[in-house]
Amino acid sequence: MKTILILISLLTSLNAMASSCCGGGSSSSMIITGDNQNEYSLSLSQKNDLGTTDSQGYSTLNNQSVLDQQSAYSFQFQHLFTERLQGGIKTSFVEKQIRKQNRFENESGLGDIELQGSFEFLPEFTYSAYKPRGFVYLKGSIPNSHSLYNSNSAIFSDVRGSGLYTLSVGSFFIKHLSNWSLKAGTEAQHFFGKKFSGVNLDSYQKYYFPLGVAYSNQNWPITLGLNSTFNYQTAKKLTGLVNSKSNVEYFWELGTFVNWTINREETLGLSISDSSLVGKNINSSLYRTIGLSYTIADPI
Amino acid sequence: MKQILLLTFIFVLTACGKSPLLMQKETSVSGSSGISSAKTLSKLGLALSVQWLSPLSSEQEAHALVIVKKADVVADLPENFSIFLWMPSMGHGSSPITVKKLSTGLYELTNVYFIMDGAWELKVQIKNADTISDETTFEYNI
Repeated sequence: MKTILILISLLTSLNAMASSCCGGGSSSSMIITGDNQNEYSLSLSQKNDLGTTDSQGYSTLNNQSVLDQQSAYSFQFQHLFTERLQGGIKTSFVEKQIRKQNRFENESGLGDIELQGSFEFLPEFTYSAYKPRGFVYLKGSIPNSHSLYNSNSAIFSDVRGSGLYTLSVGSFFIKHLSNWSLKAGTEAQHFFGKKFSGVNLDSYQKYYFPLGVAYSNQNWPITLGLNSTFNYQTAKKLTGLVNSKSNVEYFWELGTFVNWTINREETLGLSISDSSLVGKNINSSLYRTIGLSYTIADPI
Repeated sequence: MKQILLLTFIFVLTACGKSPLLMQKETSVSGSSGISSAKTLSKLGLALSVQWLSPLSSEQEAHALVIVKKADVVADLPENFSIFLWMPSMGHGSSPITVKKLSTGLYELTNVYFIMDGAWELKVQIKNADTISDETTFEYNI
C-alpha cells in the first residue's frame, strides 16, 4: 500500500508540473543508467499507420485496403566517457511499404542518424528515498531521406523522417524504489527550416513529456513497464509560392514493454506503443509500433 | 496484480481527452464524381471551373477537367501556370498533378492524390518569375 501511495503522489505531482493541461511520459533511450561502460543494441521495429486525427480531434481510421507500414532495423551504441559524461549514436535502415490509392510502393534506405551527449547532473552517490538521478542531454539528428516537401512519391513512400536537421535538449530522471523504477523527462527539439523548390519552411519545434514506470524483481529476470508520452509540435509556417501556417499538432502515446535479462550482459526486450488509445489527439497520425531489441552491455 | 491495474489506470488518466478510437468521424460515402465548382483569376479576368470525373476520396486517385473562359469564350491559361494540392491544417501538399491540355481552355488533371482525409485546397497559380501574379483556390473537404 505504501508503494502505491508513493507512486501515486510522484506520478500526479510530475503530471502537474509537466504542462497546464496534461502530462505524459516514458524515457530517453540513449542513456546508460546501469553500471555499464558500453551498451550495444540491435532492434527491429514495425510501425503501422492506423489513421489520422483532424484539428478537432476526430479520427479517421484507415480502410482495410490501406497498408502504411514502416520497418526499422536500428543499431545503437552508448559509451560512458567518465562517471557522469556519456555519449551515444543511433542509426537505422528503414523500409516502407505503402498500399493506398491503387498504388503499392516499397522504398528503403537509411533513417536519420542521431548523436547524443549526456551529463549526469544529479548523481546518486548516497542513498536517498526521494532524490532521483538526473541527466541533461544534447542530441542532434542528421536527415537521410526526402521530406514531405520534396518527396518523389505520390504517397510519400520515400519519406523516412522529417528531412530536416534537428537539435534537441532534454532532461531525464530516474528513481529506483525497491522493485520499482520511475522515469520522467522533457525534451525540446528544434527542426531547422529549409528552402525547398518554391517554398521556404520555417524552423519549428517539438516537445516531448515522457513518464514511465517499471517493475522488476531480483528473483525474476523479467522487467515490466508502462510508458506514456505527450508530444506537442508547433505550427509549421511556409512562405513562397504557398503562404501557409499549419495547425499545431499534439498527441499521446501509450506504451508497454517487457525486458528479459538473459544474464548480466544481455537483455532482450519487447515493446508495444500506440497513439490511438488515449487523447485528446489533434492533427496527428495514429500508429501502433511493435519493437524487439537485443542489448549487450560491457560492465564497468 | 492490483498494483499493475492501478498503474495502468493512472497512465490512462494522464491524458485529458477522449481516445481517438472513441472519436471516429462518421464514415461518409467517398465523394461522388461530377462535383463542379467555379472560381476566377481576377487579375487576368479568367473564369475557371473544375469538374471532377472521379469520386473525391483519400482512397483513390482523382481526376478532373478544368475549363477556362474569358468573357464566356474559352481561353488558355498563361504558359507560366501551376496547379497543385495543399492541405493547410497539416502544412503540406501532395505529389505533383499531371496537367494535360486537351484543347483551347480545356485541361485534364490526373495523378491527383488527396493522400488523407481533411480540408484540401486545389490552387491555380500564375507565376511571374518567383512571384505569384494571380491565384485562385478551390476548397474541398475530403
